[in-house]
Amino acid sequence: MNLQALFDGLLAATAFYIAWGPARFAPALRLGCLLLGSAAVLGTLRFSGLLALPQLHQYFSMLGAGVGLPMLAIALTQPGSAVASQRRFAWIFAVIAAVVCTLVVMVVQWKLWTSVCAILAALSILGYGTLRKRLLTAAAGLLMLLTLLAFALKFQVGALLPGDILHIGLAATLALIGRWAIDSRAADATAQDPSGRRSRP
Amino acid sequence: MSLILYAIPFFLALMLIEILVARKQGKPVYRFHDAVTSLNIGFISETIRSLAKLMSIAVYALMVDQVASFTWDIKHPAVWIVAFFMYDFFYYWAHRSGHEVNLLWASHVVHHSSEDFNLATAFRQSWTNQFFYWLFYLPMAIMGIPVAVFAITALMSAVYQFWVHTQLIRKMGWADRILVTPANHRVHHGRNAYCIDRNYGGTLIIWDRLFGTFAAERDNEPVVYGTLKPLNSWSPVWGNFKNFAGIYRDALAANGWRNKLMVVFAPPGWTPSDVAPRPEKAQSAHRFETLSTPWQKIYGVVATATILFLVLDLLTSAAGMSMPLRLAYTAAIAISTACIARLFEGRRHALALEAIRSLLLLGPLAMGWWFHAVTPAGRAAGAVALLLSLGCLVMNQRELTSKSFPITESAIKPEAT
Repeated sequence: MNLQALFDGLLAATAFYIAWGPARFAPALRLGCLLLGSAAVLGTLRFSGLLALPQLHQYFSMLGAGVGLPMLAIALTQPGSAVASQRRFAWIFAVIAAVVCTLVVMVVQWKLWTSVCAILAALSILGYGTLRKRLLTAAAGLLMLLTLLAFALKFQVGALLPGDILHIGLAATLALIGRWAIDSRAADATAQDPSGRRSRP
Repeated sequence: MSLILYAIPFFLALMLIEILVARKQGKPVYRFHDAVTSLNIGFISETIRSLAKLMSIAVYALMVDQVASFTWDIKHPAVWIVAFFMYDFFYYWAHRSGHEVNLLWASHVVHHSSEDFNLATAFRQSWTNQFFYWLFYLPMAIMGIPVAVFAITALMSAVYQFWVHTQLIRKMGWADRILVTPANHRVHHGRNAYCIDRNYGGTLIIWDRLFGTFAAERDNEPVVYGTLKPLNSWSPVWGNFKNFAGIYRDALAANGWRNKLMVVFAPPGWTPSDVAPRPEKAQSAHRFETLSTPWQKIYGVVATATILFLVLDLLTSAAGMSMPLRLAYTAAIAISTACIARLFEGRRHALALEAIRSLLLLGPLAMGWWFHAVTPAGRAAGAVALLLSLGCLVMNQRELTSKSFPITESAIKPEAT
């Protein structure tokens, strides 16, 4: 197994942990992670040589950037919104965003669209975290932004290719977001229970 | 030309058989105005479908070309089986979304606007859902299902769904548990409490059983057909756009962009907390009915046959027409059906307006000033249709005068079911 497949696998494992793990996170967060995880699984299969589906990998990577990352941003910056908190609206958003993304990138051929969506998602998370003084959120936003910039600038460190840096950076970002989600749920539970004890899920 | 058009004579023949059988059994399954409205909606939907297909098939083919990672052998039976199950699965979700998302419901509602349930209802297809529904099938393109397989599977599904719109076939035993049957689909068209948002399947009912939306027809509770907010009109145009107008009105009235978005994407009937919900009709509500006379019915048949003739003409000559001309032709046919509906509803000056409409539409056809080059046979057909229309309208006028029919706005009265 090569490094590319390994880091894609790492990203897939992190994303799927949030999407399907024991903690029941917000629907937008889970759906966004599901898309990123799907792209990463296809990447793992592709680079490991088990099943090479390059077009499908490319397509899901496009959806991960154009739909998945904005969904993460919504989950973090608008946690009370219908899209972030209700499965039905998270799906509606995902379908509409996926169709827009497909039409813009594949029909109109404006391939920058996914980069714009991803950068805006990272900036909104960073801005929200900074303005609200939420360290984990700001750190997740900053890490996502740096990762995306490094990938865009084709940054390489030793044997790590730009794609590897992207996958490692995104996996770390997702880990931070997962931490944030667990913390915010705990805070909510404490707020609901005046005695300060954590309520049962 | 759409392949489904070749099935129209077959569908019309089945309708005729249903009318005869229903009459023999003494079941009032058909009402004239309702059936004519359904047919007109269906004929025009075919012209719009032919436009929408250009877009949807192009995007589907592009997706197959650029994204699909698998190549399927079209001659292998497995491809067709996989395509059938995939299509039916995505049909279920497209259809369910059509009922549970307000914007999509606005598009789909016209199919449910009939307060009767018969084979004519199957014709009552939305003019706008063809611009939304194809999106739900894009995963099939991603999986590489070839365009031809997709198109034929879609056609077969559409043909299958025709026969389930009947009250004459009762429960079907084991088939009711696997397939969408008339009994299952009657529930889908009902406005009884137990029927709302149930039985979305296209060919297989297993998806409803799997996702918890199945309801079996109840022997002790007859299904009342229609929607909770009835259309109360015979106009195909209003039937297709009424709920869009409602969404626009509600979104305009809602405070804040979140509420405006909710109006569009929330389930039908959702209203902002500061707005009182509109009352919904009880399931025992009366059906919409208007007065009709023998000559009005004859005119209805002539006018509907003319609409069908124009639709076939449009579809057969569409390839040689520019898009604006094609749109103008479609609009002319759609407006004609709205004018016919005004006559059915007994609106003020409807007879005179209908005569003017016939002259303005069929006169140029008879003269050869048409959307495309017309053959002498086409001109003759136009002249015959015009003369027949005017003749029927004159007779209708005489009939109304002699019998003193109160054809005014107040003539629109509901009839007890």
